[in-house]
Amino acid sequence: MAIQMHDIEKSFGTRATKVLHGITGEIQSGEMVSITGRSGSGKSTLLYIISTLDRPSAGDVTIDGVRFSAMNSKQLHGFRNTKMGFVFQFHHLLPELTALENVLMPTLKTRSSKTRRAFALELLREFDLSDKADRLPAQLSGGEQQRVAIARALVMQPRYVFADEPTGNLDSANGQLVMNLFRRINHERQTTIIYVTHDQDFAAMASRKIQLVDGKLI
Amino acid sequence: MFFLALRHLISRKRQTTLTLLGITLGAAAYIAISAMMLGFQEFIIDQLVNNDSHVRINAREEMLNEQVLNDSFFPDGELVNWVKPPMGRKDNAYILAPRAWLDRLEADEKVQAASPQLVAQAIANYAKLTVGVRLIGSIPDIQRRVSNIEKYMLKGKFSDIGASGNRIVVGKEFLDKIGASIGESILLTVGKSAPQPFKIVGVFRLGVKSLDETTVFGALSDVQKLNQTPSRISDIAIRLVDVEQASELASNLNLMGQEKVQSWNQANEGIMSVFKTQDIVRNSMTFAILIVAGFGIYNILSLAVSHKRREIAILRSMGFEPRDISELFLTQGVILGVIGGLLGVVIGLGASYGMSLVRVSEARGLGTGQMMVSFDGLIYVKAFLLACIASSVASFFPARAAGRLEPIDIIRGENS
Repeated sequence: MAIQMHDIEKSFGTRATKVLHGITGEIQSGEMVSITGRSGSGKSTLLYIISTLDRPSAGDVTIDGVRFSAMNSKQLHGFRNTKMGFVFQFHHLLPELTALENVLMPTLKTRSSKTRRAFALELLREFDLSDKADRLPAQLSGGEQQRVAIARALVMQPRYVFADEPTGNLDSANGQLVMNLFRRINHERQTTIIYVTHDQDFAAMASRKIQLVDGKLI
Repeated sequence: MFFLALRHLISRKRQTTLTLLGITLGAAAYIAISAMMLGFQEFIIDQLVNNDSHVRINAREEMLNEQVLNDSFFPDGELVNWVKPPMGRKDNAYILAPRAWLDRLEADEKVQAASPQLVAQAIANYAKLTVGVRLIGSIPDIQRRVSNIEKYMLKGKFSDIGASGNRIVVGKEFLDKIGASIGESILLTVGKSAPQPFKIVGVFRLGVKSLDETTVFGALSDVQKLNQTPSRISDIAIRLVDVEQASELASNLNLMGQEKVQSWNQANEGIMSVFKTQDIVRNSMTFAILIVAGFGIYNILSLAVSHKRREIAILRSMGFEPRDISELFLTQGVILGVIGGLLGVVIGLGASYGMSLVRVSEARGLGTGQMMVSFDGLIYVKAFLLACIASSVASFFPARAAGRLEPIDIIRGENS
């Protein structure tokens, strides 16, 4: 089981500025992969294409043997819900919900909030947030919010976690904490972690590095 | 999504309260206006339907002209020159074959009761006062079954009129005007003979000033005697088992004789058209209020959608489908509609109750002299449904727009 990229290209705009040029490669299950590159190198675009949020202009992505382009909307959303977790730079917590409710949000889709509640609390405890479960995002620090976002990405026990600059908005201590969490998740749960970063130290924590220069793999 | 929709609404307390206020006031205004207008309509219709008759058969008035007389007196078509051409009404109008009509009506199972009447314009005299009245001669036991007159009796019983004996029942306003009291006699004349004394044995108040001022009920035979037209009648008042069949029956009966047959709504076409206009005004007012409330919801939800773009993106990345996102916003509209509708119903009910306590002039009131307010359940159901439909329609468009947002566009917009 893995993610396979076949000759992926991505262009934007009417004058078709090419951002990705024929990317081909494979990410194995259980890997921890960092995608690095300069600003504008197409690293985030690649992450969103392999995580199904964006569609390539040409080429195809296969996840667990299933071609993306062949999935219908229901399958795609089901796949995102059960097999994937997302962490963004700006943590994107729902401001009306408490930390615990935010973590449990993906479970509403499958109506499994009750059965996963214990697991959600365990994640919060693991991330040193057990006393913050009932707090609203506005009452949490940036680092705490990002940890809640990671717990939310993990609550469905996905096979893949995609993170776009997860440390981009954090100070170095909190950034380190988040990266340690990712490494631990990868080790303990065998969750495939794919993250975009421009921080070389954090990129080095990956088991494999994908580097992009001007939309090409090097 | 209900849970999240509720949280969204709670987090925007001020906007939610204002929107709710709009819907609530819209629904409450609809109820209050409807209650007042329908109360008045129900009252008037009750007067029209139940105090008179569902269907009335009238003797047709015939006018005299040259043609009519020429045909009768010179059937062979001789040339006649009139010095003064004949004109005017043909004596008093009477129903030609009352027995045939009454037998036919009795046999009809749609008819509950048919009361023969002789209606005459009379002059009432008491002390030095003279007042014109509409004298209705009827058989009290049958008349009671046709109209609700018994219900409106203030003093005495309608049946006290009896079969004969010059006893009458009069309107309260008439009694006050003429200054007589119950038990006293007044003089009545139709202008053909010497005035006859009639004893007042009862007083009624229908609530319509013009009727209470001029209507006098007497026994059919007494009125016939006063009018010097024994055994003649001018009207037959009919009560039906089902009032809804009045127009249909009237149209059918119209074909059966030369008399004029009119149902209560045909006879009062003018009033009915005023009611129709009232209904149009009432509905368009409500429509306007709800459109304003609807635009409120539309604006607030559209704003919410643009404020919640990030959250929409994260929800979509969690696997929530476009349909779920639309549902999230549509649910908010429906919640606002349902709660606003329910609050509107409660406030509308309170307002209607309050209005029903308002004292109005006795002429418009019924017995208690209080404002006529309708508490018809249908008003409340309509108000609630209107609130729900208006808010659902208003939230549909922002909800659809939210569902169409692509997460990647939002994320890309954020990062760039």
